[in-house]
Amino acid sequence: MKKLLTTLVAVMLAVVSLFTFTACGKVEDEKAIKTAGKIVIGITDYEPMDYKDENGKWIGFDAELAEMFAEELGVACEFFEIADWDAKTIELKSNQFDLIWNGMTASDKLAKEIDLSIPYAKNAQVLIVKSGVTVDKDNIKNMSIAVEKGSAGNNVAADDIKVTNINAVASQLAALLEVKAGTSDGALIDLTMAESVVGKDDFASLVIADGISYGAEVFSVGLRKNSDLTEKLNAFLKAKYADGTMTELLKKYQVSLNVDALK
Amino acid sequence: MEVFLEVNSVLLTGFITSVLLFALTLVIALPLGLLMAFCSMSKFAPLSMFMKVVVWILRGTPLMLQIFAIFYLPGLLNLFVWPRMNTGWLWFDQTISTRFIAALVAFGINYAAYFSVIFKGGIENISNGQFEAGYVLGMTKRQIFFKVILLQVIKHILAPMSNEIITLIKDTSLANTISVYELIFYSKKFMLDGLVWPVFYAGAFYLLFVGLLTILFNKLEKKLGYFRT
Repeated sequence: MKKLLTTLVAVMLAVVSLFTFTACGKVEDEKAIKTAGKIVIGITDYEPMDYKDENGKWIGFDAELAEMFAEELGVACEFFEIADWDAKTIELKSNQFDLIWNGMTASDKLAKEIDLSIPYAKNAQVLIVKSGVTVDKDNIKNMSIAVEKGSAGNNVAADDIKVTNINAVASQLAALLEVKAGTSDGALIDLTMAESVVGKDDFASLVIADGISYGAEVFSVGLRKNSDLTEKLNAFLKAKYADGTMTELLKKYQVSLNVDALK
Repeated sequence: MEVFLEVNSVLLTGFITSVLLFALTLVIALPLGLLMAFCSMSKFAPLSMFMKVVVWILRGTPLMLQIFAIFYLPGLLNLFVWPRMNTGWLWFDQTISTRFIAALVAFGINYAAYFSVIFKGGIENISNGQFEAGYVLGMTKRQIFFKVILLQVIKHILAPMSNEIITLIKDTSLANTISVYELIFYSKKFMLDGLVWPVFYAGAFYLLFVGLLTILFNKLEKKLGYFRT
């Protein structure tokens, strides 16, 4: 038994040490992508950033930008839909795709794990309630609030409003389901998401609470740590702002985002 | 009505993947489980010891973690990367991704561990007298196992096996965590269009399938009823 335990501990230590010896220096993503002839973008179905048109082609504000970037690199652009947003960094690190480009809110925690591009858009968090409910801004902290765990809405609820009763669920949609089912009083989600879903079909009974908006978090593209593509991508984003492409895309997809962060 | 039909056809796409994962897992796990059962009953101590550790790990960690480990660890440790592509194999118009293969490996190994314990219990349950009787009649070990023991074992283990197999079809939803597009994945997508009910309606697909399995197992039990052991 003792021998067995020793072996087990040895194996565990070996596994842990493999994780800690990470390579230094630049990760040569550009070369790998050009050899493969394609860049793979990790996304979720998230209107208006990345979603499918009637023909099953991925479109949206982010999807079009990503395609332009692929074109600049001279490679094909392929999208991969992640089923679980929590898995985005592990998918990126284990080389399953090359970029996360999906209206991802930048955070310090994320920046430790992966490289982030310069912010390319500003977003806000809004409160969703059942229609007919009046919201007192000072009383929000006493409401039960549903959020996507680990999301920007979660941070706003915990750190800014200091909500005592936070229900952290798997996705922004699940947070809306909480409000609809009455298991939470309200939900804090992205403005972009709220505008595309709230008020539709089964969510028709929900509204965006008037005049309540939080945070000025920014969207960034995620890359592997120390990727040699980061600089290129930053230059690309700046250029697309300067030549007016960003503003055009905002209009095309009716997105309420502020892209002046790129000025 | 149109929406209802559309939801059904989309959910069916996901369900086909779920059922394929279910069926192929059984194809792998049933023989592998039997092999693991023999290994853990082996008189060669290192082999049976090794098998016991393997079964302990497979039964002692969450299946979701095992799926994660099999799919992500090779890439994280720079050993190899599961190719980012479809295998090109078709199944009811669906291409099979390498993610599906990774999930299949995880499910196959995990369920084999559970099956091996059930098989082992079933085999050990047969009284020694039957082996001895076989020897006296001049049968070989192989003949005794396949002609005398096996059917009795199957009858013994039918109830616990039906439990595991029914659990398996519902466990296939765990493949969702590495983005295998199965039933639950598609049912959740309707929420983006503001439809909530498909998530719950997906349960009907599992219920129907488990109903069929239950009938099948009842029939099998009746067929094996002539063994009064």
